[in-house]
Order: sequence, then structure tokens, then C-alpha cells
Amino acid sequence: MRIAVDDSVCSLNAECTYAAPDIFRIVDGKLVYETGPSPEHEIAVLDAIDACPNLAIELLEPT
Amino acid sequence: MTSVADPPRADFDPLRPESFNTFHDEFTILRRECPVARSNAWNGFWAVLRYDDVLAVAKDPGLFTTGVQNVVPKLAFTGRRPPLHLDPPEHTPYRRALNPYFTPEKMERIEPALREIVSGLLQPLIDAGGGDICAEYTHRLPGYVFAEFFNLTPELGMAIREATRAFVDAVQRFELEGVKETSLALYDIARTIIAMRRAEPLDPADDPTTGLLAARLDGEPLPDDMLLGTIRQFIVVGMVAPCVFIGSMTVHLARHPEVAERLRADPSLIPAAVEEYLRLLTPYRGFARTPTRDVEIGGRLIRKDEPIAIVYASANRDESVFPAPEEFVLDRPNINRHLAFGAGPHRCAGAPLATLMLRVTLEELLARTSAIELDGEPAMTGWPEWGTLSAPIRLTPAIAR
Repeated sequence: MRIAVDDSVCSLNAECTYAAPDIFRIVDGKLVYETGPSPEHEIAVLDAIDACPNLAIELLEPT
Repeated sequence: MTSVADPPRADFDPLRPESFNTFHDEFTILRRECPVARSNAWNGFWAVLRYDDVLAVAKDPGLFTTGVQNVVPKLAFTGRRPPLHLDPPEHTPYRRALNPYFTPEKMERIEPALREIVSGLLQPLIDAGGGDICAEYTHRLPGYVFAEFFNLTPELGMAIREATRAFVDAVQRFELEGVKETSLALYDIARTIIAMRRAEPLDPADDPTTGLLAARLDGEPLPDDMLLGTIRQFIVVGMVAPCVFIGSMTVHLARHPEVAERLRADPSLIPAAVEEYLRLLTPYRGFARTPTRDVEIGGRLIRKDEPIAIVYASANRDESVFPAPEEFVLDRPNINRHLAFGAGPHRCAGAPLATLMLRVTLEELLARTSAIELDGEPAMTGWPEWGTLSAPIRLTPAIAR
């Protein structure tokens, strides 16, 4: 799968870092994430997409 | 024809005296028969009760602004306070500055200090055989946690707690002059915290106030009045909800000893129990939005500028989303959809810290007791909160292990 985060609306709410900690992390006040998570992370990533209060995570390409 | 002088017929009265079950009993019927309900109290407002409607309003800040009124009844007269009082995109830089203090790593780091605070407050209450858990525990805990989180002395933490208690008392009695006066006292404390960090900054990675002062928007610092409003807002949101919620949770445990027993037997269930309690005993019913144009919700026409309460406490008991909603069920498959912390851009920034406080409280309370019993009727808050103001309980210490 491929994902992208819209930096202009992300408010570093960190919900994604709880839903999918292997894919999203906040480092030095910035969100870092894997753009192409492997299939075993699919459920967690979909949860993160749902959990984002700002709808900032876009699913570009499903698994 | 309805004239301006005739307000719409009221569907409910938020000023009716309440005991522990009355609100949910009434709103279970309203949710079925009148899911977008009208009250004429406090100059009139609408209450949106169903899960899907609440979620839709919360997630659409363009149509439903927080810039006019953030709770029902309207109480904020003393200034605009980010992030809650702003809509995106104006809202975003404040959340960006604050949210990184609530990452899993930060929560892990604060947990030992928090556990020490929790134990230090609980043990004397247990040794005394119980008491009013609200007065003796839940009204004190957030002050100490706030002090730890903001790197303040415990003394300043308790001063914040006292000032917040005066504010909440005035809110509960709906004394508007008192609300204003005590709100301004909280601004004075916020001013003190900011002055301390301006004079002697801490590491911005560990100190939210220093981080806010260091934040830049288009190369400029955040405006002084907005920084002040942010810290002032943090004080009150950090204090109020945990107070009422922990009391409600204790009352439920006292009424359902089988839940307490199950959690004592397997403490690994406690994180799931916290989430289910957040759903079942949601501490807010009166967060508000204001539509920026006429809008229809659930078949009712709501005019531009008419305040709308998005009743999270009702949405979390919507039977179409959470079957048997009045029951405590540990393994609900969709529990992570509960709205106890809200939804959309204003979802509670402090949710991870609150969840940690609740988990550690449950862990220590259950490990240190063998029985929790009610010792009188709990007293309930009015709107905008829902939960206990006082809850007399008896505690039996655990047998020494």
C-alpha cells in the first residue's frame, strides 16, 4: 500500500502514532512515516487513517 | 404560525435535578424519539444526540464553528483561547506546538512519576477506610499531574487546583460574575507560568510552555494574548474532566463488584476497561458548535447562529453503534470509535495523558483494595459536564501480599 500525509492539515495530533506505531512516529516535533507500509501493517494503517482527526492521511494505493 | 416571541416547544430541561442515572434514562428515550432536541434554557440551544450526527458536526469545522460558543451553557466571556476557540487553519499551529508533548514515548517517560502521585494520594484514603473520592482524590490528582507535566512545583500545582475548583464551583452554580472573576484568576496563573519560562526557558523538548514560546508561525512568535489563552485553556481542560470522570468510574465499580473482581484477577484487562468506561461514563455532554448557515440535521431545521450541543455522552450510548449501550462490556469490537475525547480537529489533545491517569488510577485502586462500596448518594455535575461532583465510598484495604 502507499500513503501520503497532507502536511498543511496535519496538526501532529499523534493519533496515528498510537494506531500504527511501526509506521508513524513524531521525531523532534515532526511527523515521520513510511510511505509504503508492508501488507502486515494494513489494518493498523487503516485504523490510523480513520483515527486522524484532520483526515490528513490519504490512501494512495491499497494493498 | 410561530412568531419571534414564541420560542419552539422545549423537548427537555437541562436544569432538572439529577441523580446518577437520570440523564442517561431521559436521553435514551430522547435519542429514539427526538434525536435532535430543543431546550429553551440558557437562551435556547439544540442538542444533537445520535452518534452519526454528532460525528458529522464535529468533523465539519467549516460549517460548524467553535469560534462563537464552545460549550452549553455559554461561559467564556474573558477572551479567545486557542486551540478550542479557533477553527482550522488558525487553530492548527497551536495544536502543532502542543501535540508532540503527548506522544507514546512522552507518556512512557511520565508514567513512573504519575504512579507515585496516584499512590501517594490513594493510600491515605484507603488507610482511612474511604471518604469522598472526589474531594480526597480526583480533585487533587490533576493539579499534581498538571504540575509534573508543565514542570511546576507541586505547590503551584495545588494553587492551580484551588483556583480551578473555585472556577468550577462558580460554573456549577451558574454565577456569571463569579465565573468571570475566577476565570481571570486562572489567567493570572497562566501569566505567571509564561513569565517564569520567558525568564528561564527549559528544554523545549520537555516543557510545553517553553515549546509554545519557541513556536513560530510564518517566522513570527505566536501572539502574546494567544499564548496566554492557550495556557489558560490547558489549565481548565486538564482539571475538570478527570475529576468528574474518576468519581463516576468509582461509583460504577462500587455498584458492580463483579467488574472490580474481574479486573483485579486480570489487570491486563484494565486498558480495555478504561476505554469502555470512557464510552459508558463520558464526562461531557455540552461541547458546542454554531452553524455558519441554516442547516438540517435529523429532519430539523437549525438556523444560522443557533448553538448546538454535540452530546458525546449520548452518542457513546447510541444503540445502533454500541449494542446494549448501558452495559459495561469489555471486548466491544468497535470500542476505539467512542467519542469520549471528541472527534475532528478539536479532539482532546491531552487524551493520551488522561488515559494514562485513568489506567494508573484503576491499577493502583484495585491492587490496593479488596472492596469498593458506596457510602451514600453521589452528587452530580450540571451541564456542560456529566459525572460526579462528590461520591462517598468505603474502601477495604487489600490483604497484604
